[in-house]
Amino acid sequence: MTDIPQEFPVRRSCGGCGSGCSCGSKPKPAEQRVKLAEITSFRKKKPVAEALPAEGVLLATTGTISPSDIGDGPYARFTSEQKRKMREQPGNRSAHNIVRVRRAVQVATFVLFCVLFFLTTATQENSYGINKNLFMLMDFLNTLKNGIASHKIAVYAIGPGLFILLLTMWGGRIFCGWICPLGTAIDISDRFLYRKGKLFYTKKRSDTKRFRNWKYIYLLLGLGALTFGVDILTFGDPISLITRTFTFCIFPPLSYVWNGLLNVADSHYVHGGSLLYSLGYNIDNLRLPTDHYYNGLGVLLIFVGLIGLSGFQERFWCRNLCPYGGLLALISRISWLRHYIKMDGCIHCKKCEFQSRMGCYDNLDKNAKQEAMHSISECIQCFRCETVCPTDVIQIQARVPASIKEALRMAPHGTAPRPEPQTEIDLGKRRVVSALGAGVLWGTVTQSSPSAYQGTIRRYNKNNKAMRPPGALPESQFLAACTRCAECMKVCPTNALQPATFEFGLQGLWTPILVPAIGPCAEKCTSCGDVCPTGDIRPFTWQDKRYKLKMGLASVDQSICVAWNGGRDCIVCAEVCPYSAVVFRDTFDDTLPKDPTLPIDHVDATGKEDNRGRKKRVPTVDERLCTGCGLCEYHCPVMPTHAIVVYTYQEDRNFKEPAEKWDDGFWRGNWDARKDVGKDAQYASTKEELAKHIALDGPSGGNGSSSGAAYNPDPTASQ
Amino acid sequence: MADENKQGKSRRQFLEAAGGTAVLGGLYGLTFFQGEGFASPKNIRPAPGSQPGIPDIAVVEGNPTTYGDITEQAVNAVGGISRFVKKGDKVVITPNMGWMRTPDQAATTHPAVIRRLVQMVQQAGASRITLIDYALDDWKLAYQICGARDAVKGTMASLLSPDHPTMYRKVAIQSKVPNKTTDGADYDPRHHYDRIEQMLPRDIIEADCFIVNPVVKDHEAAVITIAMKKLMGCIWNRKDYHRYGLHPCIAELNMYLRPTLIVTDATRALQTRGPKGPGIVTTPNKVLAGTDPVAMDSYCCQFLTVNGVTPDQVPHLIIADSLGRGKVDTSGLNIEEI
Repeated sequence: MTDIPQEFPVRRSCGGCGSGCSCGSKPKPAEQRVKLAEITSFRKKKPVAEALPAEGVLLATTGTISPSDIGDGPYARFTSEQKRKMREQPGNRSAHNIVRVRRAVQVATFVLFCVLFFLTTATQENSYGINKNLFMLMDFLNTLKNGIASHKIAVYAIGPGLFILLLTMWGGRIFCGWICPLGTAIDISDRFLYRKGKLFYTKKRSDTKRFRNWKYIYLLLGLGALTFGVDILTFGDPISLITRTFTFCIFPPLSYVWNGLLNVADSHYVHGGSLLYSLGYNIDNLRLPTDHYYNGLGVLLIFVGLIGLSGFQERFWCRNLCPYGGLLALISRISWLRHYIKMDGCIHCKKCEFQSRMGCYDNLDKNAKQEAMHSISECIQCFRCETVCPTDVIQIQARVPASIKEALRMAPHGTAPRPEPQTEIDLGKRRVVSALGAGVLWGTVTQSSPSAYQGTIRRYNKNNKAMRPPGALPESQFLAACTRCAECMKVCPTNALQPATFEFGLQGLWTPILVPAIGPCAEKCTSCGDVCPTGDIRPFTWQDKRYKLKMGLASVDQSICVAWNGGRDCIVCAEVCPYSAVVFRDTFDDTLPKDPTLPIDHVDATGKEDNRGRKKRVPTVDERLCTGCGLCEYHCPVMPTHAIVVYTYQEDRNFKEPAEKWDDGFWRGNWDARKDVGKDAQYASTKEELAKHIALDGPSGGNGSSSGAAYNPDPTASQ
Repeated sequence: MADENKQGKSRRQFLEAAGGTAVLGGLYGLTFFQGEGFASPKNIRPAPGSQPGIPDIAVVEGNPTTYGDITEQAVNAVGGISRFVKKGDKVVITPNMGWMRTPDQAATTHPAVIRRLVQMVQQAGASRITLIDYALDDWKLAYQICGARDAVKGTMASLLSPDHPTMYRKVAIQSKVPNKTTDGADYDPRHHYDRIEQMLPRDIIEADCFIVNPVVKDHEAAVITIAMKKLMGCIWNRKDYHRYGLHPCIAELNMYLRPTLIVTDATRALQTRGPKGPGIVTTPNKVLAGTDPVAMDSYCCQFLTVNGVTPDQVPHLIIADSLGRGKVDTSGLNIEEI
């Protein structure tokens, strides 16, 4: 790499920046300062005439190229006429078509991701059989993580993960360039934010390779820490990241503004009614659910930051930081879809090197001392290099690797076409070992700190108030396996699931907690268990929730309860409790007047009776029946601190989830039926109980929507 | 096109940017707009006054197979449905249907009663029929299990559980309950407000005719829940009512929101552990129709036999009577029992 121009000045000593600082060193010669200014300024402010490269580049025909003009020529500024001419360059026509296909696939997958995201609601059942978290399951780094950290593999995640694994083994990082919604989001924002530099990159945006290792080091560090159950990879996991961003930062403002616009359209200025509604139109179906989440800002800053880094290098995130990209890069070393360059036809225009989306090409300069190289581990198969090549010497083809061909005697030795040499991954033994070791150290230190002891941190933080959603794994496994994708929070119909801040320590950042003051855990809702891509919230049925999954225990604060303290008639907690766990009992209170019209120390004429004491009805909680769903806390009229509050006492997470099938990741058609099968008989100890269940909720398999509860009020009426 | 190399913005660019920002900001600010002032259900037709020959309350007894028929008989006895519902009316009916309880558990209005009532209203020429109950349970399952969904099948009625504040409009309910009793003591120490901002479903704001269709139930907090307490299924902010004291608030709500017709379902009566149950259920097998909620509740107290409730034990009846909403003493009324 000797001849690659040194793009970023290595700061050895004060080079005489000319900014008038007091370091006292002499300014360097004038031409050197100009070069530094070129490098460090994002947009070059040279006059146009100087910035123009030779006309030969524009016409891009062999023979008229002057490589010296191209190699160092600044590409930042062109007139629109020149841009038009350059766009008209045919390049490789078939590659142009492939780029169109790639763009279409990117847009289609991104739209599919958005559609599936919007369909991830508790009430929306119809997603045409496609699993709503398909993209999360394609992220097999998650599956790998769970296998290492929580000793639990989500079986249904194997199918999509295996698909991506095979795709990568055949074609390299196609997932990154064609499918990944985060990559597409970066590309789209690139197109809008950095449009001026879109086609003709400054060198700075294209060819820096110094940060490439970070993704491998991050991956190894994370894998090391995972062995002790500390998950730091999840903050960089691309699908988790974009799903989290969508849930916290895109969807709530969008629904807020959308509903507000509907309100404006529906406003009736005359008497405060609804304009459209009074005209006979109901637009309530158009409303989006209004969800609110804690901690949206940190997630937003990360997302904005990685979009902003694209201004520094195109797809900075994907080429330098993404751990899943790193994993796919390691796998793609054995892929078959390779770049073949006929170097004898190359004119060394270095377009491919500058315009490569991931900066894959090395040593394409005419004066290069080494062979020209293309690193397949960085390439995301975007086909742009093939497109821009003016002489069509780059060909991207899937061929049987030469070694296999020759070993199978399909071709004589040395004759099978070979791809261009590879840039080795700059990851020596020492770096691997030290990264893994640092990760292990991270994990051990985190796990051996006193705050990480299971449950301890919750005892001291937030007054034992932070509850996990139903079906959550035991806490240590839960922290290790949760990928913070926030799909459970998106799907929660009551907005009860919220991202944790530090209730569970730094490890527990953005993991779901149940906040009954915001929303209760609805009785028949099983959505979070159905949607969790890691199996971290195990799939459960509503019968499981009633009989097995104890999230906490409600507790009445007698000092503020209006029934206990004021003697008022309030039975809301008993009314709303779906498990009949709140029981009202009579008690005697000698601080309340028998007769409210008289003072409490009233003594009658005989001096014997006073006005002290009457019966009142007060709530108590039956701990055997309470599951900690928090409906009582949500509906309690005492505000803002509720008088009946759910704590994590008696939490029970020993639960065996129903069996899964590997293809559930693609199609979850009969998921509910399979999950529910036989639950009624399992939980009803007597025949009468079973009959009662079926009468109340319908036979199992239908979430209460089957015909068991149907009641025909008027069978004679013709319908 | 402006010179690309020119630094800074031209005036035109600046004005464009400022104008765009202002428009977007204005649009965003408009989204905060929720409507000014208070609405009122002024379109609701008041209940027709008492006429000679038409009873104040009609009570019809039947058997479990004729619940629909006795509903029709009861309404016909008080003048027929056309006395209350005119052609083209937007009708709102509030049955009890917000609990996940089967019809024989008596926590909800019987589906046959709902169905016949809806059919009658539809035949009277209503332009829109909405069945409203702000359910505490999951309303989809509740409507399924209590039979309401099947009851309206094939009719023009739609079921609604207004569980979001956007479905409501603010109304101002003046406090009419005196803070002091006649002896000078506080009736209720915390009842010191003049006005509660309450929210009513906009269907009721828009409605021309409002029909209450309660079931007779015991209530552990409000003693009974029949026609008067049923209106608490139509408001958004129920938490305030529990804090301020249920009985005066129920009476005030009944002073404000006056139904056109009351059809009470006393085919079954939940005697204990109301309003949700499950508790002891008796079957009086009766359906009542009338226009005076106080008299209706007072009369229906006789169906709650297990606890032996009398109208004197129900404070919101007494308060509403003192405010002039109706008569607790039903002895002077024209009650026709069929």
